[in-house]
Amino acid sequence: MAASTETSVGFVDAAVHHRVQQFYAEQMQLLDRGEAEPWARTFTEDGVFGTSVDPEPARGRAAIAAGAAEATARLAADGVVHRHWLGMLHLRPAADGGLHARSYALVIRTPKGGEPVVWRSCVCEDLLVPTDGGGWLVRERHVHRDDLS
Amino acid sequence: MENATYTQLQQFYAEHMSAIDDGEVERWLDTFTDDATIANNARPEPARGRATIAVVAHRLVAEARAQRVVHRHWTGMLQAVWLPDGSVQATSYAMVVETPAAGSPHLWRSTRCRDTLVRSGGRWRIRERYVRHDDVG
Repeated sequence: MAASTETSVGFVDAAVHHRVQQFYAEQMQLLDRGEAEPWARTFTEDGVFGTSVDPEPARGRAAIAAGAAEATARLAADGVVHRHWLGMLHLRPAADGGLHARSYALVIRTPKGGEPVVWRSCVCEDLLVPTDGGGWLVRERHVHRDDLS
Repeated sequence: MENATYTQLQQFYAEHMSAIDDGEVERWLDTFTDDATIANNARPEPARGRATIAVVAHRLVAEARAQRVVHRHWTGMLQAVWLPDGSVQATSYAMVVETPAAGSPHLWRSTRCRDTLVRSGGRWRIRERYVRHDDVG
């Protein structure tokens, strides 16, 4: 088919798209398992993580890990489990081999012995940078919560 | 269908849905051909052409703003095949998550969406869409 072989402006190729999907699966599972340090290592050393709630973003791996550890402790105290589902991923090339990645995220919250609910709906905007090993790290993340927009 | 095109379609839908969810009607209309048609099982008579589709899109965006809700269209379970004329038929499930201002999100709609897409002007565009709303008999 002609359309399958032509250069597709604006699209990131399939191999990269699949790698990034796997990166997010791994990253979100680290967070949902409460592995704060490994989670923080999916950001660059100087990574920035901002949300609609915090006036000041977390800067650097130590601050990002501390935020995750705090959230994990709160969930444990509340007796709930969160699962972050990312989807509707859209990638655009950025400078220096990086990627602008925009995705939707749902957080499914399940209380012990109870039924899951859709807890949050968000848009996640990342600047991803390539690593030497062919993987990706988040240099900058902004999470926009739909209930606060 | 081969990986490269399938991935393009997944990215197409991500961009297409985020345009309407963000209320960017012009960017959304650009993902349709000029003569595109949209129909659904509640209103089988299709809206024909971008101008007509624009009217409906502006109304939907205005309604969501007036009600202070955000809609997020999630598509998945994408099944795509090449048709003999070089167009693609893509069938997917779409759910809409609705979040009221300062409220909790909930599943608002569940649908099946069948599109015919063509390459035109250097990008994928929808030529024909039929949406089956699960709550409409």
